[in-house]
Amino acid sequence: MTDNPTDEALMARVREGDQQAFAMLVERHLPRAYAITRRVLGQQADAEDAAQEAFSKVWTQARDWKPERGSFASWLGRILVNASLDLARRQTSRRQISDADASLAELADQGPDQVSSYALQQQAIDIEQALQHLPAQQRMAVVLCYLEEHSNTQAAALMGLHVKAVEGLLVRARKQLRVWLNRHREEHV
Amino acid sequence: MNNAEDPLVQQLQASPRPQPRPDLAAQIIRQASARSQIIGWQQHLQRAVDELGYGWQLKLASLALCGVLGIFAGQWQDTTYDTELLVSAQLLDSALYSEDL
Repeated sequence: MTDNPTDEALMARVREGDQQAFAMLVERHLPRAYAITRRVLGQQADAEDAAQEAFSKVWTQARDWKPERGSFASWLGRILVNASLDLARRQTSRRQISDADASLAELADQGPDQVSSYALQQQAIDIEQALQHLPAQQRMAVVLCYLEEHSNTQAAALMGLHVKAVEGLLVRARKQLRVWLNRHREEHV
Repeated sequence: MNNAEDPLVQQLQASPRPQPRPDLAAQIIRQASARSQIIGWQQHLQRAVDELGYGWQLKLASLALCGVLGIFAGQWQDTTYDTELLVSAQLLDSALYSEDL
């Protein structure tokens, strides 16, 4: 057995009920999964719930995963996108813009040469808040294509949409983000 | 990467990635693996329930509407059929009666 088994090898073990293999998969994919859910849902608690639900499905429905149908990462991505969008639909009625202090505490310390100044952190918070003003599907498209650097085709596959639909979501999202960020800047000058 | 030259996209990409709290992975592993894995027919049943659960209000309303329309259509059909049958019987009866006379 290798020290760094592939996702597919780990999933083969998870299908047999191997909890250690499942733990390795969670440790490996949680940072990216959490980043997606956190940016799409805005709230830390909701993001954790969506990540929890997605990984629970990986465990309980492990036998549903077929290697010939695609990679584990794609399968997890689809589960994650569905869990996030389902939760986003449910949260629309109780939607709140995320608390700036919580966001500041949660932003990773990425070293003095990258993100250390308050201004850059404030800019990140502004972007996060601007994202929360978008409809859920537009937010998901922005997060997948611009923040997680998926291609439009990959994002379309994860969201179960045609690639043209994703392109339309991105165009509308950029337009709305510009409007919101410009207005926000003018208010704070 | 699409629109990589767009300053807005560059600004988005420059924003730092949110990190999960350190004990979240352990919590997820503990809670998820406490559940039992779904096998065979359970999976199909689960999927059917999930699909039924999505937009169930709309599905129920559609079913009720179809039922009501079906009842009305049935009533209407029966009435017409009965009326036609009655008229036909009366015509036949009157024709036979005339001949008897």
